[in-house]
Amino acid sequence: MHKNALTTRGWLLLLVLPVIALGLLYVLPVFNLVRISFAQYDPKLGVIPDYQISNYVALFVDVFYFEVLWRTIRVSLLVTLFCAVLGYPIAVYLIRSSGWRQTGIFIVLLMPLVTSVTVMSYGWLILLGRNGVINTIASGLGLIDVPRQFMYNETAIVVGLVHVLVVFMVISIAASLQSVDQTWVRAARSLGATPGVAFRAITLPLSLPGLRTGALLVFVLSMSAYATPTLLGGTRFKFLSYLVYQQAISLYNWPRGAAMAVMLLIATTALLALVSIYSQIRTIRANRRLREAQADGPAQVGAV
Amino acid sequence: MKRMKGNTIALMVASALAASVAPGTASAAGEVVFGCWGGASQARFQERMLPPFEKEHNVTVRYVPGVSTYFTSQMQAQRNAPELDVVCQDDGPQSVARELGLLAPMDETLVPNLSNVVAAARGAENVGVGYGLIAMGIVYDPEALEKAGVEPPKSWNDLADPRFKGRIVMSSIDATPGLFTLIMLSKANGGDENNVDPGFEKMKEVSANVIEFTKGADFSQYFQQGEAWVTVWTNSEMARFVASSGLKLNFVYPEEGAPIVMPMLSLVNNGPNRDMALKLIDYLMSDEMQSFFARESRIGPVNQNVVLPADIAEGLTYGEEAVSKLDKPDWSVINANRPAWTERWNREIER
Repeated sequence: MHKNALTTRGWLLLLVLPVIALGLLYVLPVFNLVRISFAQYDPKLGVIPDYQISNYVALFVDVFYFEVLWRTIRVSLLVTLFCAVLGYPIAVYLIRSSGWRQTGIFIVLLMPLVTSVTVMSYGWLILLGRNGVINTIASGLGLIDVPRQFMYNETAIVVGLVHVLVVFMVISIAASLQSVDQTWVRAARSLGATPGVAFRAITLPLSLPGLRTGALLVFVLSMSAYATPTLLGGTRFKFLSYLVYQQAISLYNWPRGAAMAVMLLIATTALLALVSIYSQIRTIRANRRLREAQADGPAQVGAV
Repeated sequence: MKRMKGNTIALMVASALAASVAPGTASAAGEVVFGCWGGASQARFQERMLPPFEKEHNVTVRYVPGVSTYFTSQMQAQRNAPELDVVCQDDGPQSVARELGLLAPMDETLVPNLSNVVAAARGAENVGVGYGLIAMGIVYDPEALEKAGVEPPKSWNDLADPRFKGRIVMSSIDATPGLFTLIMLSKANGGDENNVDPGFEKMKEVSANVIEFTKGADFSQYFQQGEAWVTVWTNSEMARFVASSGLKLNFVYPEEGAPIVMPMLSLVNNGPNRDMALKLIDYLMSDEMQSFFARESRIGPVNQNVVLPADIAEGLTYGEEAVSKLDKPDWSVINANRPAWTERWNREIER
């Protein structure tokens, strides 16, 4: 009894530091951001603490703003999709390899995260530019007459972001693949399932939580990406983060920039909430089906 | 063992706290905080320009690297307790900081070397002083143009000529080259800072030639990779790029005039070390440092006592006569209208 009380207090003490850290580093800044988003800006006086909803009203009547917001969401969804399609096989390969090969894959995957974005964008220019490697090869093979511009469009943004973010998908999927009990797969195989069927019936469903985590991570990071879209897509294909930068840094209008940032936060959170609600509903339905199945007859592969 | 660990952590926390507090206390004594450009400029200042000053006055110059707009934002955030003493900014962002009341005036009695500075470089209301003269014009790659059999550009309106289709790289309106192109296109077509409609009309034609509008004003990779033939850049940035890359580029003073860009030094209002701040500005305006800027940073001197040999003066905006030919944009009108122009640019030019 006495011992238990001590551990409870120990747990609480352990919580203090994270709570303070989260409060200072996360809650406080976000609160401040929301506060500034309601303030006003005057070129002579700077930010004035006169709180109104005018910054939001200005955004809601702005078609251009929604165009940029929609591009941000659309591109981020595409990035998430491509990361999932590319990341899954890589994750499978990753957990099946070991030693130097595994380390090698990790280094390749993590490379974009430790490389400066400027260097990386220059790298893409060397590859995709009009005098770049791809154009040179294509025209050398007689596939194209005039060099094509592969940079400065939405495709370039998707390519660049997938390159940077796919590692988050791979690691998430690999983590959940690792926990799939291989005896189930062997059991299925011994009962006559082909490798494909065993994968679809056992491995894939069990790795879905990892896929979901990876998708959320990639989507959130992509929605807030700034440097990669700006350098690869150029300013003609703006991401919302660019408009925030423009207002806050070039035009000194923090309140307007803060309002845009808050809207980005809300849009991202809302999409995440939708996905989370949808998956909750699916889980509840699956559990109900499972209970019904168990009520009907002898338990089958219960844990699945 | 456990206890020792606790002590070690406590010690680490304490020293971290001390370290974070220390700069504030130190600046009152032997430190002056200097906010200026990063990269190669920072190395030039820290390794070669500032050490003699530090030695002479027995003071440490704490160098905070950043860009003009960043310093304006910084000073705005620290309005009640400024951390910076002296800031380097381009004239545009400097005028915003001045209008926000973040900078303090200074005259010859406080900074003796100001009496040698050409009139064009003196700051409005004695706030700040230009420390170098730079011209914004059109830059092109002569080899690429010759190979393609295309005439070099001569005027701002030439940027709209179809012969440069898909061969111009230009900064967005967020950076000075894009902004000045808009203003010079207005002036070349019957408008000015107060009437930019003709500029926007022409800019739409120019936009058809532009490969890409960049966020900043670093065009080096576009020329290195042969993507671009033409851009709008300053003579000083071009000269530095040419010196470091070995590529050959030409600078054109367009027929309609070349706007002046001036990096400025300003005294921060209520900065922690005002006395040393004034001394630092005076030092950087001296004959010796002004020649150094001309030689190493490739910017025209503002101190009229400075005499440059012909090989150094080549390509620089040098002497009052050259300066008088430059176009001086009206920054107060620009600052007042920039948000509206930016919105319009986002919708009409970069969409």
